[in-house]
Amino acid sequence: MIGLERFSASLGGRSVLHGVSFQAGPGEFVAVCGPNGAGKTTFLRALAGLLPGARRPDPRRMAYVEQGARCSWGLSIAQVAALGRIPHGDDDGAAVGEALEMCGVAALGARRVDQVSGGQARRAMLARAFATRPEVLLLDEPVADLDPAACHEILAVLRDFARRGGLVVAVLHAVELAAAYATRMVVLQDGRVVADDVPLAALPHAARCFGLELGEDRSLRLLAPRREGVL
Amino acid sequence: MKAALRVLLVAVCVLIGVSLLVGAAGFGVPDWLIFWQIRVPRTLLAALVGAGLGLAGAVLQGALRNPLADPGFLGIGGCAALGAILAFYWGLAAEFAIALPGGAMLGAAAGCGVLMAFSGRALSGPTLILAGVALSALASAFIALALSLAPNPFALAEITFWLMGGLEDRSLLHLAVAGPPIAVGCALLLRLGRRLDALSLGEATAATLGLPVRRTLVLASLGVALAVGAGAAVAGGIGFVGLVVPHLLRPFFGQRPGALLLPSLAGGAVLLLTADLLARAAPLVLPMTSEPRLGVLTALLGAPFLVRIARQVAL
Repeated sequence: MIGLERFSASLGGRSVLHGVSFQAGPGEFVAVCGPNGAGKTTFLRALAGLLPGARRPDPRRMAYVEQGARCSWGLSIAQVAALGRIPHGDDDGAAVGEALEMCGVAALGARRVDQVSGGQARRAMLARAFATRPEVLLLDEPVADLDPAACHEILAVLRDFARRGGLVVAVLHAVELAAAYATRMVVLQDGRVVADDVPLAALPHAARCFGLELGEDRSLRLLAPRREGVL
Repeated sequence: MKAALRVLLVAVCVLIGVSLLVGAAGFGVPDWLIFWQIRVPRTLLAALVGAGLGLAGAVLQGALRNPLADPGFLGIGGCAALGAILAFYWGLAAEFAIALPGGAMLGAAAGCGVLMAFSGRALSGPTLILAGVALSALASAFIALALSLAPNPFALAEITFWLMGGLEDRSLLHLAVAGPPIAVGCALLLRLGRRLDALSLGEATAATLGLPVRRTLVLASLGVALAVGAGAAVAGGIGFVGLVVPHLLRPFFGQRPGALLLPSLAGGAVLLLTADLLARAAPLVLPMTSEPRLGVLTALLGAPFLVRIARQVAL
């Protein structure tokens, strides 16, 4: 459904991805994890077809929400969501309304997106992606600045989308949340895939590349690093 | 919103009517020659040039995602003036009627090209404004160079006067030369509405929505160059229309860039027709012997606006 074949990319002369291969299909919720600078965003941009040499998926089937996505103008939340209909060239009110409903901002449709809270603006951007009625959602840190309850709410929406046959590929910084919701975890380190498995199996790798270790009870809890000289 | 647009269109018609009935020959329908050779060209040029500048401002603000974008302020007007002066300077303008607007349009296109080339990077915000300031400075420097090398004092006076912008004594020939490029440029720009909406999410996201980003920016540059260049060729340096008009219209039409295009076209015509009427009325009520230059008037009206908008925008 979407994928990369031995894909390499460099940014400003610095090599960011080294021969990464990845395939994903319907019904999967893939969490992309890894330390800062591992190439997660570049990986997602490659999937979205934004890098030279990457195949650009059909815009009617794929929606991409970039990191810290925002709207330059004070459009209403309903207008932002309606931008998701651009690939179809229509103004399908039902699709827009449904997307607003899914993301919990239906009541805020008339509010200006630059005058609501950061979390509500984030939901508006997500509603824009859902309004396209895509088969594939590519999301870069979709819950980065949401409070814990909102994080769970949005991730549950994404999980349900995948359960209904959609494909979600999301860069998630919060590894515990990723493990709780995703069906598969890709761990990137220094531009290479170091693990690609169900979250339970990929988690030790994620822990290692963060320089942390997994809890002894095999729970999905990451312990703080032991630092010498600190009690 | 529909009602607001209707008000604007009615205002354009009323102002055109008033402008046709008022002039140095007094109020009312003047004789045939004055009407056709003086008032019709002046009125229609004011409407056309204003419409082009207003629309160009709205498109630039949308394409560059910056409420401070304006063809004059970003140096596109300056580049157009430079192009026209070069055509003038080399005597091309005296030989071919099309050389002056042609030079102005080429200059404007070059200016747009430079600005849009920045657009891959962090264009919104101070970078763009600084690029525009640099472009303006460069254009002014070359204009000053051309002026200082002017072959005779008459050429110097003529160019200086033209730079201040104005629409008096324009003929049907001016209308014939500038009208078509402005109309084509506006037609091009009016079609970009939905694409500008998509660009408000940033260039990367717009690309994933299926938008041909580079082609859109090229089309926007082309349309702006036609509308602003041809306008500058006949009206000289008229600034701030493109900045002020979209800003004034946002409270009525909303912030969506695509929803502002048609209103900005009409609003630009209203603004410049009004300014031109004020310029004509000024000698009647103020102690001055000749009309104030139109470009001076729009700058006097527009500069305070720039300060106001700059205070609202957190760069």
